[in-house]
Amino acid sequence: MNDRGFWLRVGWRNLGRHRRRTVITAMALAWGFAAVVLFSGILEGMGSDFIRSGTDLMAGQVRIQHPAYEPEREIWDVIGGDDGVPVAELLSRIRADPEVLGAAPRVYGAGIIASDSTSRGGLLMGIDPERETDVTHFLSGVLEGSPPEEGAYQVLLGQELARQLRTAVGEEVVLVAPSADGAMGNELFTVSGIVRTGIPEVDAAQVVLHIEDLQFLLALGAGDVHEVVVALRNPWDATEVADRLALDLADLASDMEVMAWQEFRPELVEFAGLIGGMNWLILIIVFLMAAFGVANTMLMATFERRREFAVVKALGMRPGRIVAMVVGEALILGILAVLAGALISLPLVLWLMHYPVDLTPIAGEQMFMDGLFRFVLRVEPSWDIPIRSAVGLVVTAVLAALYPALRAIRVPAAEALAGR
Amino acid sequence: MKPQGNGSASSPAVETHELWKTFGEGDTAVHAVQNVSVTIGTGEFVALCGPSGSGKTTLVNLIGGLTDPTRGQVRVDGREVGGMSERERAQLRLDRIGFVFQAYNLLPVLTALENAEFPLMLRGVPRDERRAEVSKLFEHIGLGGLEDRRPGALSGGQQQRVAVARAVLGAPALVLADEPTANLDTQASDALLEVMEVLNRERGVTFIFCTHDPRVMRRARRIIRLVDGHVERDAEKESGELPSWVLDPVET
Repeated sequence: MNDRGFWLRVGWRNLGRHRRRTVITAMALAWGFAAVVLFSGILEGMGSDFIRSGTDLMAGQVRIQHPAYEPEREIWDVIGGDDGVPVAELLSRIRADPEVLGAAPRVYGAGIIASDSTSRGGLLMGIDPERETDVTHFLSGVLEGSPPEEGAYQVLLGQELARQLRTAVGEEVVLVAPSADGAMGNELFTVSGIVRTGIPEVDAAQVVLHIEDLQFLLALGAGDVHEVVVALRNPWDATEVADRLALDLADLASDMEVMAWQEFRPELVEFAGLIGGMNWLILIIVFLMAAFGVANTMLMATFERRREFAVVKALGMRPGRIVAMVVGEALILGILAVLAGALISLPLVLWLMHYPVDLTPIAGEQMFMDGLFRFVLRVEPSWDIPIRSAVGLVVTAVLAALYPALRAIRVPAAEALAGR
Repeated sequence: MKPQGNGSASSPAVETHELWKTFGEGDTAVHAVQNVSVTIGTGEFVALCGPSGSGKTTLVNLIGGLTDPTRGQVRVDGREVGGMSERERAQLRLDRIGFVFQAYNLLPVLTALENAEFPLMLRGVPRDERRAEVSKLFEHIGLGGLEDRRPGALSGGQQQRVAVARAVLGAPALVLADEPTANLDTQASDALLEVMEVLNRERGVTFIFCTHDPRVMRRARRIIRLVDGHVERDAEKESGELPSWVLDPVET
């Protein structure tokens, strides 16, 4: 037994003098710790789901465009400018990044779509359906029919747009759109399907074509794409992946900008900040309660041991060491609470990590920040929150013991020894 | 007797100069120690006697720096105790003073051995060294085999012996003992007093006892009698016999 072991044993024995009080305090702290770990994990999970739903539907977590494409979205501002870009190589290099799940090219335009009975303005989006499903979810909203096939001159219409055009799957529509060469492109298309994204503006205007058909309509070359949308394994890594891709792809084209969702969806960043703020709020509330609990326990212990503090002062124990003794007891209490809290929270955390509870049947699907959000109770796997909470709890316990410790060193020795 | 100079090897162990300790104020003020000026040389074996409430414990507390004087000065090894910070006083007590309290005051969470070795540990004495010292002394004062018992499992007399062991281990320069034999039988008292006498004789440890016990006073070489907080008599004792003035008629 070295002297450090001695002091630990003394602290342990002192806590054991009022076992019930110690256990009650430690369990209160433990439940607080468990609550922080669990609810913070759920909040993080919800935050991630919000971010995913806000980016997975259409936007992607990383996107590549011509630097001047936004906000005017001019038809000739394609990636790589006048020279375009070798799309196949671009996609191949992007997908070589270990964090990338998929990448899909897109072409955009605006035009008029006319059915037998009426016409409407339409937002034209040319996609590669196979690649698109690796990246976004909006094709899962196809209500009837199917996505457009290559070379078949097919269109997929937003549900509301189809309703307004009074058209249906299998019927023909005419698209007229200004093309890159200054002429007006027009072509007859067949409605291949109806899609519902849940975003009213999109459903009322979206016209989805195969990318090659739209390139042809807009007089663009095969290397002319307006955007490449990238999906990642972890949305929180988007900034690093975007930076990495910008370097990796720099030799393919000069007029190219790689952006993470944090840049092109700043409202999602604010939302992520809100989640972080709520986590801190929970942390502060629980730790304030912990601080009062520990301070109360240690104050009572200090008051009960006035005579003992007088004795150790008389024996020559320096004030700093008395403080260390009291604080050490709080430290042990805090560590016990963290261990107990971990035991309480671990099964719940693991369960919600591996078996999320889908609350959609109760809460329904909600549109949130241009994403279709499903309420799923799940814990985002992360060491950050448990470690931060554990350290925070132990530090709180130690800080809360400082006042009782200062009271201990101010015990008037002679009076306390005389029982006054 | 006025204290002189700063601490040095030749300084008296303890000096008090016109020392007062008053509790309360105004009409309710109680002068526990009144104008006490004494000098106790290094290596003295002194008994403070007097009736209960005469100020013996308060005087010992003042000497040990456990309470501040209302007026006057206390010097230990030539160093003014009143002007010291809490930390300096703690260091002085740790380095120079051993305490035996009236009510044992062992730490209940420590074993007998841990209680006894506590000041040595605070001084940084290596574990093996301090354990050897404790074991030797415990054997001598009849505590052998009780090392691992907590105070609650010891009799009053055994606890008092542990308290004395705690005070004398490491041979501090000064031991302040408040009724050290109050709960001991004759045999145990004699064993303890013997230990203290040996320390006093061989290592020059200064002992100041507050006591009503004639056995302690017989061994003391100087007796100071306090009455109502002031020194009534202060005399060297030449033989083992007790002078009649040390005994309080009510208490004997």
